[in-house]
Amino acid sequence: MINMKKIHHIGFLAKNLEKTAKDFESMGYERNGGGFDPIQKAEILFMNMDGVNVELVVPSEDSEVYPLLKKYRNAPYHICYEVENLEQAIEEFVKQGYALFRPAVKAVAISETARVAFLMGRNVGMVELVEL
Amino acid sequence: MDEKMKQLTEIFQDVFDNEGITLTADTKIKEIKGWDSFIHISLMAAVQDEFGVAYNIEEIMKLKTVGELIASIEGKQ
Repeated sequence: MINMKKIHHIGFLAKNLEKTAKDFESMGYERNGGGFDPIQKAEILFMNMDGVNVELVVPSEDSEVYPLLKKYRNAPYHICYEVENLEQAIEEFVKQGYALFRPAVKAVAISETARVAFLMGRNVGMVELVEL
Repeated sequence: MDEKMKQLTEIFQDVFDNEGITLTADTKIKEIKGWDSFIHISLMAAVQDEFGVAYNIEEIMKLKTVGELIASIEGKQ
């Protein structure tokens, strides 16, 4: 079994960041930082409720996930897991057949020191890993 | 080659959700109806899982035809 600490956030595609954020706020979520993330090529806004983080993502047209926005509009599309050691976790996922399509990079939308990587699993879809 | 083509055909049919897809070595992956960048990455995840090989993102995006894909799988096994 792959060793992960906990779920860090759920990635949620949004066609219109402000409209989606307002609807999440009406459910009790609070805004918790964000901005343009050049790695994901997307506008990001974190929303939090009861310790659960939802990352609203509006991908640019040159992002790999832009086709998903066209298909699903507003929908969850990845789960991000916090890991102790990013390189080790990536190696374990790749060994299990996951495709690493965004190698480890700094994640400015999360924190100054956080690093993330994105993988695609045949049966579980997109997985993000974060080392804080 | 034939066995891999059969396995790849099943993968492509599954990922594109189209049982009518048939492949030849000359089939250009990006010209299959419904292709997009997300489908391409999903295809590679299925290929990695099926054949036990690993690609980096540059390799993934460079693969153009089914023949190139088969050659790359054989080169990695």
